[in-house]
Amino acid sequence: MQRLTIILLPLLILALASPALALAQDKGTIELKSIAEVEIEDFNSEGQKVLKRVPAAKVVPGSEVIYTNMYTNVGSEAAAKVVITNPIPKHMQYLPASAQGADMAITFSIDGGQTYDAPDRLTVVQADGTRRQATPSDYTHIRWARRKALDAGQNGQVSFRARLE
Amino acid sequence: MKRVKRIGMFSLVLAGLMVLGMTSAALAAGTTSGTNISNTATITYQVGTVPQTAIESSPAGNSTPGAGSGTPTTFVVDNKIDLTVSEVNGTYTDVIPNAQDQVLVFTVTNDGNTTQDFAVTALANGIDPHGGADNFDAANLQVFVDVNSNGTYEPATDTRTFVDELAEDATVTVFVLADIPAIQASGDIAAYTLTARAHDAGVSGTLGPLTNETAGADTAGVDVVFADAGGDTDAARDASFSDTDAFQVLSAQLSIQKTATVIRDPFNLDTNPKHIPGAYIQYAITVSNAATASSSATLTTITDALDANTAIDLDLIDAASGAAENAAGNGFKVDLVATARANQGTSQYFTTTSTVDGVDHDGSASGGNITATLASVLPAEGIAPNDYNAGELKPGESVIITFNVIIQ
Repeated sequence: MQRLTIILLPLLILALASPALALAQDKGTIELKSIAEVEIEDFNSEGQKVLKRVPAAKVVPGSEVIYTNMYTNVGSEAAAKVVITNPIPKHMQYLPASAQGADMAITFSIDGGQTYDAPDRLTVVQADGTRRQATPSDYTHIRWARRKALDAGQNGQVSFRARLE
Repeated sequence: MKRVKRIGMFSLVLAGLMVLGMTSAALAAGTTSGTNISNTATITYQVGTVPQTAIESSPAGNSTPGAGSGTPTTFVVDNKIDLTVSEVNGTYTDVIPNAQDQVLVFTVTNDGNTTQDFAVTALANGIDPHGGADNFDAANLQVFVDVNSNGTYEPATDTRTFVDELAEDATVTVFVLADIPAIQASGDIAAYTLTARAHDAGVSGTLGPLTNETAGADTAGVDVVFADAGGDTDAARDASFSDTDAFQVLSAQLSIQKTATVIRDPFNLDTNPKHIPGAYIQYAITVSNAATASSSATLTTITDALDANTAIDLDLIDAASGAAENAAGNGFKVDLVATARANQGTSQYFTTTSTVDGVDHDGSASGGNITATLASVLPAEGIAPNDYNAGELKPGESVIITFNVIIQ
């Protein structure tokens, strides 16, 4: 019964809306923004050495890149079961323990995103048939599952670091 | 139902391929410059209990649901210049005085992520990398690249003087050639440093322009970053690398000694004989290669001109008995000292005038010349490590040729 109301409500608004508003309704509830940055050494106003993040552009093999995914509830309703998935980009290697995100359960995939689990539960079958603990270089995807609802207007971000091979 | 299964299988294969691809891409030199590194995150959520269409990320933020609505966040891999130069054998390259086109062998490895040309130059270095003391410079220094990659310098083939189109992770052999002056002595050392400097690749057979590091702010295209370590004579991050090797002169230290002893005269016989006409003088010619020599000597001939007032003793008489020491007509005796040859400790006798063996007199009634052919006297023999080349006299070994003359 409740489900019906939720579906009905947007339909009702859609029916009443002008064409411009109808276009806006094509948008989802959440906006997702992904940026890639590198850290460079810089000096602050007191002359101290600080790490400054700049957009990733001058990247050579061995460089560390910080990927940040920012999500905002741009709708008018709370979003539940928010899950962000990020494949480790090709030629990049995930850096151990670098995945972060407040209120997020973080799991990893080593099978191209088919299944996800906590790092200590991921194992790889070796050539001789025995299993070994998966290492970060085995990871293909990272998944962040938000533990609580994302209210309208609320935002958050998740991030990870990877090294260019 | 069947169709769903198939899709599942397909994506499983795809996942397997992806994992494989990742492994093979892990080159030491890294991801090839110009490669686009692309990232897209996806968010899924529910409104109430209704699952919504997934939304892909974009660099500026995207809220349009559906696959393909997002924009990948990308950057381009820049050109990392990195290289290593390494001398190959890790120790001296042994040479002998007056040897031409002696070769020091180096390798140049492209540790960067782009195919590069490299200029290669050799310079004398005053510091011996192997711990000795550099004390001379060789002549006619030249640098050639191992064009056919067989690791051996071949004058007809290896004529290129720069490294051409060296792929990332690839290694090429480079030869430094020099002539060793004739005056150099055993133990002399000449050190040389090979420096490789990155140049732009692109045109096969041509050394491209010098590769420059991109100054200032990053550009959208492929920038150049120097990432090399410092070598023997170059700094870190200068697109160059250098390593040093050295020639060490090895030579034999030959000495020749000739002694003369009166052994018998017609009156005193062998008791206190005197230098009177008819007396026998025994000559012993000793050729030695010093124990401290660093290489064998290859002896060819020893000649001796007899004084015109003497005549060769055809039979090499025994001082006490006056009879032939070995046999009539055998006028020469050869003894070996400290060798590992088969005849060590056993005297060998050679005919006086026949030229079929190794030591001969020219047959003159008085005076005349003696010629010893060492390839015959010291033949090739033995098995390693106690093997000998023809005429070889190893360090610490001697050969003694003995004959008599009669005072006229």
